[in-house]
Amino acid sequence: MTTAIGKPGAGKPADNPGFLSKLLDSVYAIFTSRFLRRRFMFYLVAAFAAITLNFIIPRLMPGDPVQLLFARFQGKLDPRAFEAIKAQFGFVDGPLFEQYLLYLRSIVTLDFGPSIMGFPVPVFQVISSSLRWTLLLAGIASVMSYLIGTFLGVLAAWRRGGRIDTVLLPIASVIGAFPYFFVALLAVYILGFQLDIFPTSHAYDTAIRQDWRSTEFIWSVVYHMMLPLFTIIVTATGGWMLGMRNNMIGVLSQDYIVMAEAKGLADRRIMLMYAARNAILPSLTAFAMSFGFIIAGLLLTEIVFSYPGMGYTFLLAVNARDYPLIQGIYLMITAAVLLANFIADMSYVLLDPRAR
Amino acid sequence: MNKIRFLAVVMVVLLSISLVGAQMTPRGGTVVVSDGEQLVGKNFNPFSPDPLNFTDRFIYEPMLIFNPVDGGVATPWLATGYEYGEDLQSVTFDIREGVMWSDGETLDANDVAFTFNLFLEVPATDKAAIGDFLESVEVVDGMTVKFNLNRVYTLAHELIGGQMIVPAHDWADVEDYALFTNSEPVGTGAMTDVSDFNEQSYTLCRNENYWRVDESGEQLPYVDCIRQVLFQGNDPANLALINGELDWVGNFVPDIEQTFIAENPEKHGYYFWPGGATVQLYSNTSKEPFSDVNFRRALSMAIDYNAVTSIGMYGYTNPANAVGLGPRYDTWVNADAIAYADGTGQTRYNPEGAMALLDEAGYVDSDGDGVRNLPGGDNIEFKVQVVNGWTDWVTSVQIMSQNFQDVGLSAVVETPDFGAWFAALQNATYDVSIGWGTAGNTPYNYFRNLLLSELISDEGVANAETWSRWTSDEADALLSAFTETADPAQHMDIVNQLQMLYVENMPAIPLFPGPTWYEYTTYRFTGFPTEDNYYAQGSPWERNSAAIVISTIHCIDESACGQ
Repeated sequence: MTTAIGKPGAGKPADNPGFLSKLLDSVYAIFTSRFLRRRFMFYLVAAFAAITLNFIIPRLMPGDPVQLLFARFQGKLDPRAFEAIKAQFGFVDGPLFEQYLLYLRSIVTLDFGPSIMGFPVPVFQVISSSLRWTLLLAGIASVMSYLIGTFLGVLAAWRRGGRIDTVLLPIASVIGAFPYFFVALLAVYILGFQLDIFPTSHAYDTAIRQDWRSTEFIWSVVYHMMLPLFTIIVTATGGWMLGMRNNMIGVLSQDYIVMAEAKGLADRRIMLMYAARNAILPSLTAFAMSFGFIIAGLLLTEIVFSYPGMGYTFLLAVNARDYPLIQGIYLMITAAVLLANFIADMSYVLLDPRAR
Repeated sequence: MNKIRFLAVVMVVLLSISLVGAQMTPRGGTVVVSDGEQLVGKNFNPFSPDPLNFTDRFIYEPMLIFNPVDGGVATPWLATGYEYGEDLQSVTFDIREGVMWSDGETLDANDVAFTFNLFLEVPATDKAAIGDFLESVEVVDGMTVKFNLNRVYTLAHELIGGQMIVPAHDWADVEDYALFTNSEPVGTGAMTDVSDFNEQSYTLCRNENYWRVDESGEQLPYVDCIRQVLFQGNDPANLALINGELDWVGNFVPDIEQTFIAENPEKHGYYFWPGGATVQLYSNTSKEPFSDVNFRRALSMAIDYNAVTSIGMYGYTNPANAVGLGPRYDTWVNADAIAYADGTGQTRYNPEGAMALLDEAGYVDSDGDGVRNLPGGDNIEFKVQVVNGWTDWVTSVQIMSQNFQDVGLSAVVETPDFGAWFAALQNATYDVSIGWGTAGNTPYNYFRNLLLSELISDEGVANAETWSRWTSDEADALLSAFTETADPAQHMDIVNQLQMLYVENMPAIPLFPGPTWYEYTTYRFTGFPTEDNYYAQGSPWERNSAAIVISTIHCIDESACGQ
């Protein structure tokens, strides 16, 4: 038996070392690889470009944060109060270059100062309260839709022409092609409003106190998450399923699968350990990439289900031209995308030695 | 005989017991509100630009309350009265006896003086620009405060009376008033105890020391707590409202009879009192052809006002009168100005008249392409702006731009996002736009914010609603004269002249008085303002009224009171 079986083209001789030492070897190889050093430089440049764009783009939008704050009162706030508000927002004025330097400093210190629309509440506080809900919902939703989609994709490819392949796959693909808000609104209207099975808004019952040790609270969180989770999974699964099925089919035609079958290995073992294990590589990279977008990506879910989260906060911040808050959120998105890409790069190197 | 007498006595006793019982207002319960709050952080500092909504008049209270349905008459609140000095250069307020802060201390003149000295010493806290006219504050005695003004300014009582009073003993040690978020507020208001706060709701509970009592001496408010629930926009909030999850809401709801009332006509109610600011169509008078009053007049005659209010606004309001003063200002309307407008036919739907007026003013289709031309030869093409997503206004603007096309003008609808829309109005980079007006205690605020030349900054930014950029020395003089007299007859005379200016020059086209959004459900609470008993504006975001409503409503049964 040879370890090279799962890695066509792997260069190492098959001396079958222990799993742990093999892993350590690989990790060592990753960190010393030229590939990764090059990538690291690339990340530095990309991060700097993103940070700078993050400063410029909000300021290119027409509208001034102080004026917009006034506008939100629709004439109920006296224009004479302008001076008072400007005095509070001392940091908004000043030459652009000076603002840029201040901004760079705020990134290094991770202190973005007070948000404008929620003045004087610090940006950090605004972000942190909604971030956990985004991470919770987005984390569970992406992992579940990826796992379900991938598993169904494996089954569809394994039993090509079976019911999963010919019925479920087309349905999932069609639903996945619907605009997300349509599916979400439909779910809210039918399951939430007409049938009244699920709550239509919020992350938990607003009449319950937030307490992570209380089972009543946790049940409320789970119950409120079902409908948003369902809509995301229903719309996102089709893509993963289709991708995995196609990867699988490619792998299934490889010689080593035929050989495994010829040796009389159990079907399940061939399907999962030989075929799926190799077919999952490209989709794992895609999954890591998609993870980077979750912070902002849940905007529609948040709006339809009034789920507290980053996406809506971001929308409010953009509408109010709240530069510090936009920058704070955008920095987190940038960091998440870069981090996810870095992880994807690493796993790529780990799984495919040719990249080293 | 005796038996019957005995029975009668028992009946009377029972009846009187039950009557006494009926007089006791049920207490308790948590009112669930959505007033459009967009929560970004825990901030109960009333002098921040935009603190949490309940800070204003639920936690902190002003000396006077101006209930919009009372036509500008002040309701004494933390003050029992006020009086201007002989020379109108000072105003003295008498502070109410027996008001306690939520921590048990007593309110006195020092708290009031502290608050106003704060505005003078820390300009960043002076959100109402009190420092503009206030010279100094004097504590006359424990319960009397005298405000010395730097000039005659007869609106001083409105502005001074409207400021939230903060406790000197709690606030004196604050390090930076601008950065203070006041997470544990001490106030005189009905709801001062922050019992819960998280990213999707916050709850305030009653102040055990609250000073207001009802006619029978019972302490107000009757309800225990009020919870603000946050929604990501109107639609989910309206869904929760229709589901009966909310008690008190201030949202625009499309087609409300079908969507909300029909769900449960017994328990669902609303009243869109047209007492809001008049919504107007502004045009940029620094540009041709909008600089020509005849062109603006022709525009006003091209608009099908009934279609705008019945289709665009779902029939929630009616076309405005020619002076743009809604039903809230009925007693102020100048009959001469209305007669003038009747003479010219302006602000009344008359497409033929509009075309005749355009022809007469020289805006004819000189090149025969179906679009009227400027005297210089260019086609008259303009954009009508409205905020993206404000559906009632968008429909209204679509109707109007069709109306303009019908009289031979090439008008197209443009829907920028809120920030871009507002910047265009302020910087005069728009052609025509729908926009709000100002509703104040008197029509003064409406005309001031529309016409006062000072409001256009030296850099050319049009503040308040001076977006049309139509100004005149005459209007400026009238507006400043209004603040220099306390004589109601003179006020009336000045407002009459302003109305005349308005109809003669048409700085804006009045469309309709703004409906004030307000819905309620009576599953749990009763006593909300109704059309028949409209004791205050129902909208929870109208804070003067909200302070009155919160002390009027009460729960209806054991399950509601126990929540």
